Amino acid sequence: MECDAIRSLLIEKQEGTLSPEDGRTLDRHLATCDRCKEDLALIGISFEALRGARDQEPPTHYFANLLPRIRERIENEPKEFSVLFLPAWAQRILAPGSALAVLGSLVALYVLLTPSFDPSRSGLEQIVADVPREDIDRVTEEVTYTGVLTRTMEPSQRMLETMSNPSAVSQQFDRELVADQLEHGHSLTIFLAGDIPFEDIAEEDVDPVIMKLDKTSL
Amino acid sequence: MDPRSDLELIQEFKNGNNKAFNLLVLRYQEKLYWVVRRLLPDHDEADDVVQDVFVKVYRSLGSFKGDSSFYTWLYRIAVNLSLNEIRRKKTRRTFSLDDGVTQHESTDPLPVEKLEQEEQTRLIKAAIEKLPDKQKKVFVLRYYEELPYEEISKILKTSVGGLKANYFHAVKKIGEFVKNGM
Repeated sequence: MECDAIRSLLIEKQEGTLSPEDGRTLDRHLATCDRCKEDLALIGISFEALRGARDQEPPTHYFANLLPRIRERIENEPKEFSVLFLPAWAQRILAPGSALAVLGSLVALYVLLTPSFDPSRSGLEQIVADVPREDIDRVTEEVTYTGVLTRTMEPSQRMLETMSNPSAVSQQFDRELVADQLEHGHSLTIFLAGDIPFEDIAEEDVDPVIMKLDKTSL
Repeated sequence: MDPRSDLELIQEFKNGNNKAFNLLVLRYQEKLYWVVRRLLPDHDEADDVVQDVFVKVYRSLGSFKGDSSFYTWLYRIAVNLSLNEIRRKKTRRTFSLDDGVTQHESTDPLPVEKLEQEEQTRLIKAAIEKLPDKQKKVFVLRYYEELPYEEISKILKTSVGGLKANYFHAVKKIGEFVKNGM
């Protein structure tokens, strides 16, 4: 069995939840794999240390006082008009109409304020289009992809986005962090990658993956 | 303990019973505090975020549809607001020897076991702090909250395979950190 498939068994062994059958599989693998043996030892050290640590309790009476403090904040913050203040019959009448009006306004605003909007383009293409071209170092793309990998010039701030559903990209892409990076003068590299199972890429593997993309995707 | 379910309380809140919200806060405040507290370095920051979460919940509860369970929704808000707070304060923290452990007013020497426990606590706290955001939130929900991967998957909207990989790397990194004593 491959080391990748053994990982969760290593955790289960240290948690004491490993089934006898998986236990035999793991023992066979460990007999021939020093790397997984080292990983198992590290996981053991980790759990032992975690068991030995203790939580720092919050101040006395913290939980008793929390609700009044939350209520105070709610009362003191400016109240927004809400249909919740209306009787239930009025809410039922207003709700569908309001929802339609809001939806229509949002669509109109989006189309008006997004000159590059093109419904035929994918979520990933929309994202690339949203980032000013001069801020993008380069874009690597393939026709089919399973994820998007972004990296700024600052190695410690690189990001790995894991997503199996390309249509969800626009929701999950961390626009706020990207915007912040660009504001601080970092250029951005966006890799749209094909056939790479991002979910199993650890952060420390990002650089090898980027090298692989550089060589294979252009 | 109030016998009414979360959904019943939410419905009462929607019907204008403001006290139903209080009961939800009391029901979840402690669990929520510990999730946030383990993601953030100190109590004061955690306190701010916990309040933010419940204020946000109060403002949004009227539109809660019940597509996911209330606590899944609550945890998602808590994790997101905690990570926003971490990003907002980008300055990295360094841990002093007494950071994160109880201050002792007495000058008497501490028992050896207690000192060891405090050192262990300091190391674990620093190790978790150093984890990448994704691994940090998966680790907290899995190890401390003991949530099944399927539940975490709903909260973080990530596949179970990805969560398992993140959890493995988080636990391993904590082990490396503790082993090196730094």
